Amino acid sequence: MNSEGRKKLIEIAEKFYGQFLEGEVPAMQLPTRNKSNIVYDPETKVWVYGDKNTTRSASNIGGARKILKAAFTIEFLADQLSENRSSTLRELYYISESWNEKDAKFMGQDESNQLIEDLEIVSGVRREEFHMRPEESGATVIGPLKIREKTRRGEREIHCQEDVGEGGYQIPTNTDRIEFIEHEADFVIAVETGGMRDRLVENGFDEKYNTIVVHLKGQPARATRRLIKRLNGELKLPVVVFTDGDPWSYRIFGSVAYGSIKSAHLSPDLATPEAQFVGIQPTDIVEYDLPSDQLSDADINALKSELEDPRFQSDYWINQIELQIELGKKAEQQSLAARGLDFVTDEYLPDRLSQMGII
Amino acid sequence: MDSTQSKLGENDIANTLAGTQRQISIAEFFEKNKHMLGFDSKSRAMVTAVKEAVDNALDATEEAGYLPDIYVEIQETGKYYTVIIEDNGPGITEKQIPKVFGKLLYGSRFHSREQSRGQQGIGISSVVLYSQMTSGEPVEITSRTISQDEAQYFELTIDTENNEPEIAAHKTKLWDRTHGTRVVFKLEADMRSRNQLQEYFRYTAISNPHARLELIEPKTHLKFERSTEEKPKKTEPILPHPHGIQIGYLIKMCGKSNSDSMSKFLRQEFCNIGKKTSNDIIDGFRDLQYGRELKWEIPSLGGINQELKLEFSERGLEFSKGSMKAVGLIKNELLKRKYVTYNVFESVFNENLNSVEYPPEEKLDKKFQDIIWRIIWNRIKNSQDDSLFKIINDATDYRKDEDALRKVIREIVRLMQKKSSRGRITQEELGNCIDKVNESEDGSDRKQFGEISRNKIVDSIWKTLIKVDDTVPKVSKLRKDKNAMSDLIDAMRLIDIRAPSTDCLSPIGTNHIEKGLKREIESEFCSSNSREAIVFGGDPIVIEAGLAYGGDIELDRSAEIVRFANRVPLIYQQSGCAITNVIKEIDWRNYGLEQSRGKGIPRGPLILMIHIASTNVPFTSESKDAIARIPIIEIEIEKAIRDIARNLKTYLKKRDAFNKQLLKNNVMTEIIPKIAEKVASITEKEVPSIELVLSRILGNISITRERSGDIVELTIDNYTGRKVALDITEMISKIPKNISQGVLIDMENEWFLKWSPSIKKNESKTLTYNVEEDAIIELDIGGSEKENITVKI
Repeated sequence: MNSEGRKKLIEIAEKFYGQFLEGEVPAMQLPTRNKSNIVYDPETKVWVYGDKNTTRSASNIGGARKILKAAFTIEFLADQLSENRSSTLRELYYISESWNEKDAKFMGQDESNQLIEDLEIVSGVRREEFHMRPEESGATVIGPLKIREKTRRGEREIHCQEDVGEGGYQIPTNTDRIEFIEHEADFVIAVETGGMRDRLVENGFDEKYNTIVVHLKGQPARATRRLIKRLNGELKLPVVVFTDGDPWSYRIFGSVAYGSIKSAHLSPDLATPEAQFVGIQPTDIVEYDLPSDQLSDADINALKSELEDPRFQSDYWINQIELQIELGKKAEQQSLAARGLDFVTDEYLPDRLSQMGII
Repeated sequence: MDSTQSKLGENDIANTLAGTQRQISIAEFFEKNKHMLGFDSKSRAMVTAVKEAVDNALDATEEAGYLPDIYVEIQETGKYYTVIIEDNGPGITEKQIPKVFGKLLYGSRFHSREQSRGQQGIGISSVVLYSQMTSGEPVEITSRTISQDEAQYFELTIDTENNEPEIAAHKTKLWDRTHGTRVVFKLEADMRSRNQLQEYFRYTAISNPHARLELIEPKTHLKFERSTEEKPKKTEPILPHPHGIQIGYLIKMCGKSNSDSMSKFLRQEFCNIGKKTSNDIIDGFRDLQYGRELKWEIPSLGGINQELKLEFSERGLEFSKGSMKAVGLIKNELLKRKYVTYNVFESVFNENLNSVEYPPEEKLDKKFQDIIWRIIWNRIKNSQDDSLFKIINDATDYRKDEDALRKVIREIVRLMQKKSSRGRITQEELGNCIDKVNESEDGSDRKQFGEISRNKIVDSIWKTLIKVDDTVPKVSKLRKDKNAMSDLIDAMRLIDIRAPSTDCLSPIGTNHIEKGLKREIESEFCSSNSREAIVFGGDPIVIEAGLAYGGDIELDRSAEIVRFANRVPLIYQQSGCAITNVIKEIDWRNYGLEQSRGKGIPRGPLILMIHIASTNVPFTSESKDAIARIPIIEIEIEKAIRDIARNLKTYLKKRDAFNKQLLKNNVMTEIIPKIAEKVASITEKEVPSIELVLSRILGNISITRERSGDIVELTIDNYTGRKVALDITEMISKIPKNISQGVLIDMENEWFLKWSPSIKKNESKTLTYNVEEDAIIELDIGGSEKENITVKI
């Protein structure tokens, strides 16, 4: 893996070198990474980048600086891989200061993050294989599942109910280091908020319904999405996603099920197209008369934007979103507590899940 | 009794009043109306005094053919200021000095139709008047002409009651100048106008680069050396232009002219009237004065003899053989023609009636002649009704009531038939006929003739009428005939006459405008424009514009506007001036300057000058401070300004692009080698050569698109060192028009404008077209140069 990633990175540098020799202006071509260039791939059933391209070329000052930064970053990553070390995205941003090259300094972490994504796409190698990891930690997992993790300090076998505390099993950045040994689960439930996740665990939901509870921790990290994909793909487990009832949460569902816009090139590896949305649906707000908040202007704009997001173009989503705009309300998943602490595990989830054919 | 008494009383009052009335002299008038001379206030007084003297000096030296050398000194002497002006002009003769300085409105310039600075003021004598009024002291004049050994020295004032000079002292003296004039005034003034005075001086220096000017006053010393040895073009007075003439002046001209025939008068006394034009004018005059003749169609004349027989027998007369023969001859003559005018009918009638030999007893007396005339003429006339009807029926709306039309015809014919009209009618009379009918009819649309139908009817009939060739009156007769003169003026106005020659004008010229601007300040860029003459009220006008940008001109401030009329700077009333108005209405943001919301005086390092030269500059008031807002003149000013503004825009674009290019060159020459080094280090190879890549990057092509309103300009600049060929496609969401080049392809909902320019090295090409402001345009570039292109859209 190491050497594969390193090889691919150096190939990029070789390409630039070749361009110099030919007298061609060094350039990198990448797919355009915005809403206008997301297309549905019927084979993998996920959303990937379309045909529009952007070129980073050294023919203008901005482009030349980008290529310079890319070259410096490639060198850094190649060295890192040779030494079998790793670093975070944030560290990369700071490291650029130490290069002592004003034209190669990153202006902000957004810039260095984007460059890493560029390199991922051009090399076809995930950043985990460059030994680059994000700040945010991945999910915690609790449920009837036994895994084996390859750590720096040797292999560990862990049962995600018996061998873990209440916090559950914390997945590593590179979830490909995990091997599934055996399980007794019927489905996977990915939960947005820590509060709800704790509720499910306290109420013994994982034991009663034989489910693997994955805490997304808000917008899920790549590791989390990769894990869910593998649970669905390798163990053939159905996946449901349980979030708050607001546009930002729908995006969370989107990134689990459809693929994100920023890393659409990795959708085949990270997205779980079979994942289904449990709630909180706008119709639930009405049906269960949940305590709710007014939609802010930003919320409304986000909903409208989702109506134009190619990934949300199904009848289901269009109906739900239009209803919500009309309703003018949003609700948190923890608002179910208004009907009692056990309402979510005794009634809401069982009802919804049986409606959906999961249980 | 009472009424007589009161009448006497009334007379008394009128007489008493009459006794107090007397004539006021010009000098007295101006004494009481200083503001009309430009002496409204003490501070303005100084500017006016210097202005009058310097303008005079410039005019005089130029007239004599010298390069002007003018020196002005202002000293504080107690309560007053002493102003000294000295020039190297031709000098003034002993006889003329008192008149020039001591008599108001005395001068050679007022009646001559040529451009002169002197028109801007009343003359140097006004300064003398003001000085004596405020300081009580006479003016001192030293002047020497080239033929004199010594200079003349005068001290004089103006006798305001008689408008005559009063000489306080006179002698000759030695003077080191070989020719020139030196004038010393003492007057009450206020140097708060220092700024205006300096402005006047600086600006005079701009419009007169051939003059050496020096100003010394208590706080400043300004000196302007000549920046050219070329003298301005000498002006020649011109004759009046026919389009500017008014009746009072025409009467005078008739009186003075020694040409008696109208044609000669027109050709000699006016400019630009040659034989053809004078003929055209005279034709027009005839049309207005005499009208045109109706031509009558000759109808069938069958049965005339029978009619005549009947008429004659009713009066107990015999229709004799002789008469029959005469009538026969007349008929034949008439039938030979298709048409006949009144005149022609008259001559045919008389000739043939008289050519027949009548036996004595048959001699036709007037009574019988009249009968014959009447019968034949009636026949002709009646047929005319129908053809006239056809003409105006065709010309008007079919809805017009037939009766009303026939009424019009009847009016016309009735007019024509009056023997006094001799079968002629003017356009005005035609119109009157229609008006008469309008008055008698009810208000319905069908029976009334509005302006459009009225004009159509008049035009359609007029076209069928025949010009007359009556002799026009002699000039001496014309003079007494106001009606005829008025028609002559109208006739002149209707003819296109060439604009008056500009011999009478002395525009500064683009070369000197720029020299003048450059003398004033070191700027980065200069541009100037001198337009062709236009005509207003018979006077030729030339507008010139110039600008200076950047360099030493202060950056963050309002643009400086410098106005000139006949080379004299206009210092006051900037906001009320047409020039300022035009400048404010232009959106200067288009031309690279800042301007709040596209209106008002722009901001930036800019000096903008406008010069209007004319034999009769139109001012807003008698103080001659600001140009009057006349549309045709404002349009001309706008054109002049936009022309040089565009040059500025082009310069700024190139400069900015050049600066960007420079910047890029510097940065790139640093970055590219670093990429090469790093890449070599990663791949563990030798550092590759970067020359080729660098030259490809730096020598590149820039494409910019600019939109202003609905105008689109796509410019390609080729900075590479070689010729390039590109394939450009503009993908436009709405249909473009007025495409300067390329091929337009309709793609249903989109239009592709394909252009394949080939551009030589270091050159540029521009594609222009119009499309609605909100249309979306996308650019596609093909061709081998793709990576060398920087696009700025």
